[in-house]
Amino acid sequence: MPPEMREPTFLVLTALTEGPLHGYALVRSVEKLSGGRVRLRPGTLYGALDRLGDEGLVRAHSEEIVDGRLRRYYELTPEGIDALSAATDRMAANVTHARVRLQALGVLGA
Amino acid sequence: MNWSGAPLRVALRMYPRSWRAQREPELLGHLADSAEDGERGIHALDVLDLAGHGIEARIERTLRVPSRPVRAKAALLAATTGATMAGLLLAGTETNLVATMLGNDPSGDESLLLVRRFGPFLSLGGPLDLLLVAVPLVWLVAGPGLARTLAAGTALGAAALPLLATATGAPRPPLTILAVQSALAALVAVGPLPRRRTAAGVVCLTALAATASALVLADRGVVGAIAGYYGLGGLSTLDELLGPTVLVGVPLAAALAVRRRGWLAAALLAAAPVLLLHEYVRWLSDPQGTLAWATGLPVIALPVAVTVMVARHLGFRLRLERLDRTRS
Repeated sequence: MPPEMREPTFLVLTALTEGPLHGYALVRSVEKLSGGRVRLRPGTLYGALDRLGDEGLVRAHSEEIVDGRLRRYYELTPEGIDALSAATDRMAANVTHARVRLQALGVLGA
Repeated sequence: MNWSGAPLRVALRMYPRSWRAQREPELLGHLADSAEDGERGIHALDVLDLAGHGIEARIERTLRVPSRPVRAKAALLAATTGATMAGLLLAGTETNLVATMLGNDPSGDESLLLVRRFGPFLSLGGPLDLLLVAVPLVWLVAGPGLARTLAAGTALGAAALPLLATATGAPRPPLTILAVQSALAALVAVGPLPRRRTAAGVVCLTALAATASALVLADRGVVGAIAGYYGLGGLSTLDELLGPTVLVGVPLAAALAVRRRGWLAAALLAAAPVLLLHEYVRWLSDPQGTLAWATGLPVIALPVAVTVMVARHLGFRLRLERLDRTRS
C-alpha cells in the first residue's frame, strides 16, 4: 500500500490539474484551494517539487523570462495523475465511512 | 528587520552548490514575485523555512537518502556530535586528559578523576559514542537494515549503562547524555511514519528507563546536573525524577508527534557546533576542569527547538479552529 499522501502534496498535485504552473502561481493556487489554510513557503514548495520530480509525479514543462525573472512551469505526469486519483479515491472512501458512522450516531443528517 | 537581505542570502547558502546552480534563479524569481505582493513579502519564517530545507537538501545529497526519513537527520546529528567532540579532544595536546577520558589516568592524580563525571568519553561512555558515530557509517556501507539494528542496540546499551556501570564499578556518563543519546538512537532505530505512536512510546520508555535507573542509583539527573554546572545548589528528589522526564522524554515524544522534523534537525545541527565551541573554549581556559558539553547540547538546544515546533503546530491548529468557527 503506498504511503498516505500529505495534504500539501495533495494540494500541489490538485493545483497542477489546471495546467502547467510556475512556483509562485502554485503557491497562490494551493492557498486558494485550501481556503487560506495552507500557505506553502518557498523552501517547502521547492522541496516538495524536488521530491515529486524524483518520484516521477511532476516534471518541468517550460521556462520563460518575465521582467528578468526566470519562471519554470511544472506539469503533472501521467503517474502523477494516477497518484492523485488514487489518493482522492482513498480519501473519498474514508469520508464515506465516517459519514455513515456519524449518521448512525445521529450527528449528521441522512 | 529586512529579511530579504543578508538573512535570505545566508539561508540560500544552506543549499548545496549543485542545487543552487539548478534552482536558484527560479527561486529568486519566486521570492521577487512574493516580495512584490503587497499581502505577503518575505518574512522571518520564510527565511527559516529556506534554511531548514537547505540543510535537508545537503543531508540528502551527502548521505544519498531521501529527506523524509528522520533517521537520516538523527544519525547525522549523532555523528556530528560524536565525531566533532572526538576530533577536538584527539587534536588537543593534553594527552593526560585523553587518557583520563578513556579511563586510564597515567598520572594517578585524584583531582583528574573529576573529569570522569561529565562528557561522553568515560570508560563505558566511550563505546556508546563510538557506536553512535558508527551508525551512519554502517548505513552508508551496509544499508539501513544493519544500521537500524546497531542503533537499537545502542539505545538499549545507553538505557542499561547506569546499571552496567554500577555492576562493574566503572564511572558512568551523566543522565543527560544517556537519555538523549539513547532517544536519538531509538529514533534512528524505529524510523518515522507511520508508526509515530510506537516511536514516541519507545522514546519515552527509553528516557524513563534511564531516568528510573539513575534515580535508583542516586544519580543527579538532568536538573541536578544543570544546577551543579551553574552552581545553583542541590535539588530535591522530585526534581531529579521529573526533570529528566519532562526536559527530555516529553519534548522528544512531542518532536515525533509534530510533522516538521526538518526544523528540529536544522536547529540541532546549527546549535551543536556553537555549543561545542563554547565548551571547548571553556575547557581551554581550564584544562583540568570538567567538560560539560553533554548538558549543553541536548538540554538547551533540544527543548528550545521542540518548543518552537510544538508552538507552531499548536498555532496552526488554533488557526484552523478559528477558521472553522468563522465558517460555521
